[in-house]
Order: sequence, then structure tokens, then C-alpha cells
Amino acid sequence: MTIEVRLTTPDRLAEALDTGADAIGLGQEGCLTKLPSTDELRAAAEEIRAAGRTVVVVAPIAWPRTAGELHRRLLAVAADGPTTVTVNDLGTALTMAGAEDCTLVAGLGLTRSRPHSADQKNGTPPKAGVDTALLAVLADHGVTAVEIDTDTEITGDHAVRQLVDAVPVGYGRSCPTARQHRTGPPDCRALCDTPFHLTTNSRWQLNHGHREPLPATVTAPTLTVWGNAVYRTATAESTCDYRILDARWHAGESLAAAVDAHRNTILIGH
Amino acid sequence: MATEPVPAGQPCADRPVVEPSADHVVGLNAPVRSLKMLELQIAGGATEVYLGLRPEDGPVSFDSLPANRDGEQTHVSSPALLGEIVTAAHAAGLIVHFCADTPVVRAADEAAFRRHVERGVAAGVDTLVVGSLPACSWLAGGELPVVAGGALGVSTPDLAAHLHEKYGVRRVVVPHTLALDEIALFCGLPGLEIETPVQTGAGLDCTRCRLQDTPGVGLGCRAGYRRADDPTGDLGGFLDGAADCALCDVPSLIALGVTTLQVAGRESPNLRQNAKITQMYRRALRGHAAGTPITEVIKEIDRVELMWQMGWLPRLCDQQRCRFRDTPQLRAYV
Repeated sequence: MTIEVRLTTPDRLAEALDTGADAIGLGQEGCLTKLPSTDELRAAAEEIRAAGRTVVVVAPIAWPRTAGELHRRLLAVAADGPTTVTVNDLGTALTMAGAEDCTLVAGLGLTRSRPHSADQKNGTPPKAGVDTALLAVLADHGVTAVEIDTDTEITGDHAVRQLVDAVPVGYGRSCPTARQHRTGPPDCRALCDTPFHLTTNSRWQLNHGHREPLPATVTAPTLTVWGNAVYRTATAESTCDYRILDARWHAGESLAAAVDAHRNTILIGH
Repeated sequence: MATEPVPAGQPCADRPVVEPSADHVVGLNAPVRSLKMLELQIAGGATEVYLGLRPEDGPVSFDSLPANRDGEQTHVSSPALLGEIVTAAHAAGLIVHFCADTPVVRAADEAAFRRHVERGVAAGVDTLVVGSLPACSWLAGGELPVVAGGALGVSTPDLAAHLHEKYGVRRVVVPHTLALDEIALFCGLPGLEIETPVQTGAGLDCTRCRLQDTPGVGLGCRAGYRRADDPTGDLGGFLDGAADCALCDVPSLIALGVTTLQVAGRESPNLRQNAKITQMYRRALRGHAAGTPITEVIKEIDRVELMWQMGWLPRLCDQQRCRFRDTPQLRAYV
């Protein structure tokens, strides 16, 4: 049983190490600007290794402009010692496939996709599920585990790591937080430490060409936006013995309490 | 490249001047779901069409759209109609791309997916558009060329090169959220055709979006939002970072060497308007080939096209919904 605390930056690293988590993750799926620099990553990774914990680096989804820099940072950290890299796009998975002493995990950026409905009258999508055929192809490139959220189904025998706090439902190439603050990378780096909590109040109607008020019978979901990532609250409990806690959802001392709570749940469950 | 002043009625920023040329012929790939739509797209100037087919049964679509989006059907309704469309398209000299670009093929659906592809092949389509890496591997080496569709999320040139080398992928449809300099990197890959969407955009990365078609949200990037704790805290289109229109930059795309421009809209509620978009891009391509600067092409469009004056200018130009301009949307690209 393993508990990982995931940090966007090393700012709360000491606090995370104090929780007794088995692994510390650094980074997020969405944005290279938010990812710590190479020096920051290497120093944090060294501290984590020295504390006897597993280092996880979460690679933001790579774009043509960012792929080179992203891969340099990942390879630099991996060259220092045992590192787990959570890859969120196929290009990064291919690049990191040959890295020595590096464990590769398919991240949420690779498991977001879902099929669309074939119902002629109702476009509501089927329940999300991991593409296990994709995992088989990725295994050929050294990817040994997969991260999912608690609302996503997975079939077959796979090493699964579960994010327990929220369900990512979208990532923006054009960052909504940066746009809201009328800026962009790299000047926006600190702005996404504060989330936006929002809900829909109108719906784009394709055949009318404008937004229309939601029908009274529809319950709009509440979304949380951290940087360029959009999340919904998870609706299901974790069922997995590798759990990932995102520190952003646990301010101050509640982080340690959340780690303890999950540890106890796992122990009781087993 | 030199720049020139922005003509009146075109509020977007200065644009690079690309010398008109007929050297590089660029295709125009348009959506189709019926014979009527095909007829309109041919009239609009399409040289290629792409389409999806209604699945035989089962709960999932085998392409990148639901069967029904906002009340509009997206699929060709039967294999027989697909055959008719393919025949008519070929008679008009068009290439037909068959969309089997579902981003996920669940294990339980694999056999049905393969049958679905066989129905497209039997109808005589020219290429297979795929949306997942497994589909790429399954269909590689088959009788038809494989296109890595936008749903596959080929976001880096290295991945595109890998798909070409390992699976023989002939063409890659690049994400609609790329800037011009990024598309240039793809165009530099040897042996690979590059197709770019030109009249669509979104604030979110569609390949990873789970908001689409969700009750109470619809298209998440186009929905209106308010602060969750304040009913009066209207945030407008908070997630809408769309950069739709690439008309001004058609010459730049030609100069980069893109193979084909893709017009969106298999789900379009207005077939004529959708074909009109194709026609606008045809005007831009034709103008460039004839040696007419894009500014002159747009002046002429502005003079004669009611759709331009009533729809395009206020909804795209005035809102700076430009695919490749220096706009707040692009300055916020991660």
C-alpha cells in the first residue's frame, strides 16, 4: 500500500515529507511554466530520496514549443537517481522510454479520453473508462502503471494508481486563469495558486448559435480551475491501494490528516 | 517578411506578407454527412471530404463525435448512403476520408470497431482516420492509408515522426491549438502530409475534454459560467479561449507547406453556412494561387459576402478569435 502526496511546486515539500507519505510527486499535467525549474526539481528530488521516499515527477502535456525543455528537465532528474515519471502525452512517453532507472506511469493526460455516445437521441457520453489497448501499446515503451481518477473504470490486470481528490475534466492550451488575469506564461506562474470555483449558468446551443439559460431541471456541476486544468469533485471512493493525494485540495494541517485517513482506510480494508 | 497596414474592417493585428504563388497546391477537407452536404461542399470548393458512419449497434460512436450533438446528427446514416456519397465524391474528383477516430476503443468494442472499419473500406473510402494509438497499430499495413486524426492528439513532431516511421501513417491532423511556428515544425517532417484545422478552436484541449456533451455543460469551452459562490458573479465564457479563424493566414499556411486545410462541422446545423465557410477558404486559396494578396481577397469578400459582414466580422474579427494572431487567447498558451 502506497500513499503519494502530489505537490505542484516544492513550496510545501517539508510539510509533505512530514506526513509520512511513501512517495512525493512534483508537478501537474497541465503547464510547463508551473513545473519547477531543472535545479528546483533536482534539489527537491534529492531531498525526497534522502528522506527515503520515492520521487515522482509529473510531466505536463508537451506541445511543440515546450517538449524540448520538458524532456531536458525530466532526463536531468532521472539521471540523478531512481525516478518515477508520470507521462501525460505519447511523445513524452516515447522520449522517456529509454531513460535508465526510470519508472514510467501513464498519467491523467493519457487516460482522459472517452468514447462518444452512439445514441441517436441522447449525446450524453458513456461512463469514462481507460483504453486498455493503449496501455498494452504503452507497455511496449516501458510504461508499467496507470493513473486514473476514482470515476474512471478500468478492466483487466493493471497496476493502477488512483487520484482521490478530484476528477480532471479538461486542460486548456490557452490557460483560462492567465486569460482572466490578462497575462500569460511565464508571467502568470504564481497566479494559479488560487483556484476559481465556478458553475455553468448557460449552455452553448449549436443550432441556435448562442448561449441559452440552462433548463430549470438541469443541475449544473461545480468546477474548480487550477491554472489551465478544470476539475470536478470525485463522486466515487478510492478502491486502490496506491492513492495519490493532491496537496492543493488539502490546505495546512489537513494534508497530514488526509494522509492518515487514507492510510487507516487501507489498513482496515486489508 | 515585411508587414503592411491592416485594412479597414479587419481589426486584427499586422500580418506577414507572403508572396502569392501557385507553386504549392493546398487541399481543402470539408465535413459531410449526406448527399446534400456533399453537393454543397463540392460547390464550396472542397477537394477532400471526411465523414463518419452510424455504428451498427452498441452504445458508442466509433469516431470523434457523438451520433447526436445538440440535436444534430453527425453520421452518415447507412452503409448504402456511404457508398453513394463515396461514388459521388469520386466522380467529382474528391478524396474521401473515413473517420474511425474514436479516441478510445474499449476492449468490449474492439471487434465491432474492426467491423465498422471494414464497412468503410467496403464502401470505397480512400483513407482511414484514426484517433487512438491502438487503432493506428491495428490498421497499419492494411489496404488503405492511415491518417492520424485530431482526436489522437499528436501534439509533438517527434510523435508524428514516430507514427510515420512505425505505423506508416501518411498524414497527421495537427491539434487546433497550435501556433504557426509550431505547425512549421510538423511541416518540416519528411514524407508526412500535414493537415490543419482552420475554422475551429476551443479553450480546452479537445482530446482530453470530459465536459463535452455533459448534461448542464454541453460544450464546456463554449458554456457560460458564474462564480460558484455568487449567483451574480458572471464569468462569461470563462473556458472559451477559442481561436477560430485562419483566413488571413492562409498564405502563411501555404508557405509553411501544409497539405490540407480542414473545415470543421460534421455536426453543423446549417449545411449551407458550413459550405460557405469552405467557400471562403477556397477564395483565399484561389486568390493566393492567382497572385492576389490576401488583403485584396478579404476586401472582395467584404464587398460581396453578407455572411462575412453579418457573421464573420462581428463574431470572429471583432472578438479577435484568430487562430494565429497575437491575441489574449494565444498569449495565454501554455
